[in-house]
Amino acid sequence: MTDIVKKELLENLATYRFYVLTGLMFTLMLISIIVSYGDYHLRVENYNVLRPAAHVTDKIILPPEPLSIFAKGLDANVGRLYELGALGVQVQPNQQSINRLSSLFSIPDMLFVIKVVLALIAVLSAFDAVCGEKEQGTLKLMLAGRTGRAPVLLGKLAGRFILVFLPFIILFLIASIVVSLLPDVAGGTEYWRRLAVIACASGLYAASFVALGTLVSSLVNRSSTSVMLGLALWVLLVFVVPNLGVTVAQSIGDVPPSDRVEMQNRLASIHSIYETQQVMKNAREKDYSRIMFQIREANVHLFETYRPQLDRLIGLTKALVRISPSGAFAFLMTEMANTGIERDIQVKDEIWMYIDRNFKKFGKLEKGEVEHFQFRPASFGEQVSGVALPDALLLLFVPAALIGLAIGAFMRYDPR
Amino acid sequence: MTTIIRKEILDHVESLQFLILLLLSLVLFLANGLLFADRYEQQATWYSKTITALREKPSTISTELYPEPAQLAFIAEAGDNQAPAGYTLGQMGVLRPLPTGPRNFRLPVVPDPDWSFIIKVIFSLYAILIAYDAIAGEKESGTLRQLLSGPLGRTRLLIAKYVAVMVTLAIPLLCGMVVSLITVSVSVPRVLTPAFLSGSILTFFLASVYLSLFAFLSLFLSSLIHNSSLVLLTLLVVWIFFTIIIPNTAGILSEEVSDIPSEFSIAKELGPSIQKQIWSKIGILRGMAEKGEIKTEEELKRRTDQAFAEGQQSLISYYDSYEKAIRGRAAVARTLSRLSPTALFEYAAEDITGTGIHREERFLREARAYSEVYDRYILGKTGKLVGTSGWAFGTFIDVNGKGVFIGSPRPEEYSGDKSDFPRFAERPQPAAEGIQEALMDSAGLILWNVVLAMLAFGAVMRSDVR
Repeated sequence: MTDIVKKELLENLATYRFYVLTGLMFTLMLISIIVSYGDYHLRVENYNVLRPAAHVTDKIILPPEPLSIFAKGLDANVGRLYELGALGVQVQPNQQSINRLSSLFSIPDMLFVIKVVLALIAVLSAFDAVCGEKEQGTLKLMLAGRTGRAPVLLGKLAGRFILVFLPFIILFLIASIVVSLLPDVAGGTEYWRRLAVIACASGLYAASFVALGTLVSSLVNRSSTSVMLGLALWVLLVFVVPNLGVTVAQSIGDVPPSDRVEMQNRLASIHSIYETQQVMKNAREKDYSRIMFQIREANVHLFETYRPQLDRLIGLTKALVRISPSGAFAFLMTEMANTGIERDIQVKDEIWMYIDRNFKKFGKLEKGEVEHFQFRPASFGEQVSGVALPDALLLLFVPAALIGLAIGAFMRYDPR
Repeated sequence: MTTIIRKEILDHVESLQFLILLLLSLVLFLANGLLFADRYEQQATWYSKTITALREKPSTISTELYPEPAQLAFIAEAGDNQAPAGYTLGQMGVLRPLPTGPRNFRLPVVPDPDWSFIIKVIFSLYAILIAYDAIAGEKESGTLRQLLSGPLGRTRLLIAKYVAVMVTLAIPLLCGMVVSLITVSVSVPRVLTPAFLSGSILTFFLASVYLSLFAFLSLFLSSLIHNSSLVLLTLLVVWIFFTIIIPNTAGILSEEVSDIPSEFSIAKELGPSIQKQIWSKIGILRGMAEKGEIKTEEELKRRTDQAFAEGQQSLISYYDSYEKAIRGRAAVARTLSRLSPTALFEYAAEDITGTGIHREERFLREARAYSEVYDRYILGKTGKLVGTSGWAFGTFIDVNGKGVFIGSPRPEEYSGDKSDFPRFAERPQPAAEGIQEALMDSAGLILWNVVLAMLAFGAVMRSDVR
């Protein structure tokens, strides 16, 4: 088997394909790091402008996450400015009005490079593993030897996986070191621990697509059919399933968009001010706290009805998107980079609870100092054993299953 | 010639590849139809509800303006989901977007499966996959020599190959579009307008021009490079640059090129400087009042009101110029991204369907025109107009030993009959206007075609067929 791995390595190292694909990977990673760091730096600048003084308690803003250079995720959302007041929380829209180029064109961060390009490279490196050899006529020779079919296929898989993953992991390591040396990025244990998990996950992800390419290759006879089928599956798994999953879930879930809810929130506040004013016109004693309680009740009601709906929607979306390993990988990597959905939910919940504890003090209905908001992020251990676990298991299962299928297909393959 | 075209088309159509493409395209277009019909229904209900609620409460302080949901959004959605849902219009033309986040901000933002996405990403990839081995493949299998030894010339061979690729692409594209159109028009019959049909037909032609350039590109490289897998690799790299890298980096590059500070750093710098400006004016008036130069309360109010109004005006014009700068930067980004034909196609499709940046500009123009009507109405009712910037000022000044509160003037609500309140209605976009806007970008696509076609012919002519 080691002979086969060696043969695969040497054979492919001599092709244009390896150098073109590795060059592409290098260019894209370079662009991704430059662009994402620029974006992160901009957010840090904004944060420094917006950061309230130490004594201010009615404004909350979290610093941008350095790991968002690798996976931007929802970091721009998490880092928005929350202004707390008697009327509830006002969330500022995006920090910087990004020019509306087009919704397709998101920031090409490392997550994007891995999710789209590493998968493409894996498929392109593996599509001719079996049928290409058959076209050349060497497959018969190879199987005539003493090695069984399963070791032959495993050797091919391993060889091609190394060709895809080794250049990637070297570039990834260099990128991580470069990023950790940049200003505004503190690369401690936390940074390296999280990046290590991301690197392992991307290994499993690349293995999935190498196995997929090999599976397709051992199902068809011609390599031109194999490349077509492989690329079709790549489009399906990387673009179609994750995108449609989100849109379909929104369509089925029938949950109103959050901006509409925010607007409804405003309307409810205005309505309760108006009503209380009408009541107070005739009252002898003017009790302004009434207005505030009324507004608060309206807000709480809106939040409590909206929240479970949104949770259901998120659950549904995750289930649909995870059909593709690309979806599972995106969830895992954003959670590891602290820019995922669960992180966002945690931030919003903590702010909500903070307001709940201090509501009366904000409105000066009760004496006393408003406590300072302190965000306690979920620790690395909690994340690994919690939110990241289902995706990690999926990423382990998919390549294993695909390798099994590929061996099965190769056993029945006609080498003539 | 026709026989060879027929043979080529049959070769493609009978292959497994074609079946996969057809199925994928049908699924995508069906999903597109269902999703957009559903979303349009939701948006239309919400829009009419909001407009009715708005009309019941006409206000002279400020009103809200909403763009109508775009009927052709299924062709090119153009990021309208991330655009503000509407604008508040104050007196004296102060227009502010309503606060919005993305739709459901916790969910990942994904490109919508609109026609433009399906065509620019997925069909362009398939154009490459169908055409990459057209020449190089024939050569590898040794049939190219045979073909060229017959009466068929090289030019004709290339034309035959090109026509076959385009027909093979057009079949799934047309089937998909028809499926999407039927789905949309069955679910929401009221969108069946002439604009609906003309928009779809124009998009089909635009898509053909766009895909044709990928066909020419593939034929060019296929006759230039003799190894078909190397052709495919090169094409995929070019494809990644066109559809992903150039459009993605244009935004960031334009940010580097045009050095505009962020909204918040502006607010932070602007606040103190404007305050200083206003308070120095008020300080002078305060001094005059203390010296007894301003005698009555009315005179003081008149002069301070004027000072405040000037301050507000300079704030408003500052914000306006900032917005202009941001828009300028967006224009730079668009220009940079036009290096890629994918961006050209996207912008042309947006113009044809009446979505995207030109639609926003048109809406804002109409909103400004309406703001004049609105101001005239308010002037007729209350007799004065007050522009506010979102900043408010107030203090006390002693006149004749009595403390008088002065503050920046606020717009007033007219308490009388407001049944003649002017209504805002967005003018539907004339189809000709959209085509005119799309002209430049389409011309760019045609230019790409011409250049690549010439290169392909040149390469086939000089190609060594042995």
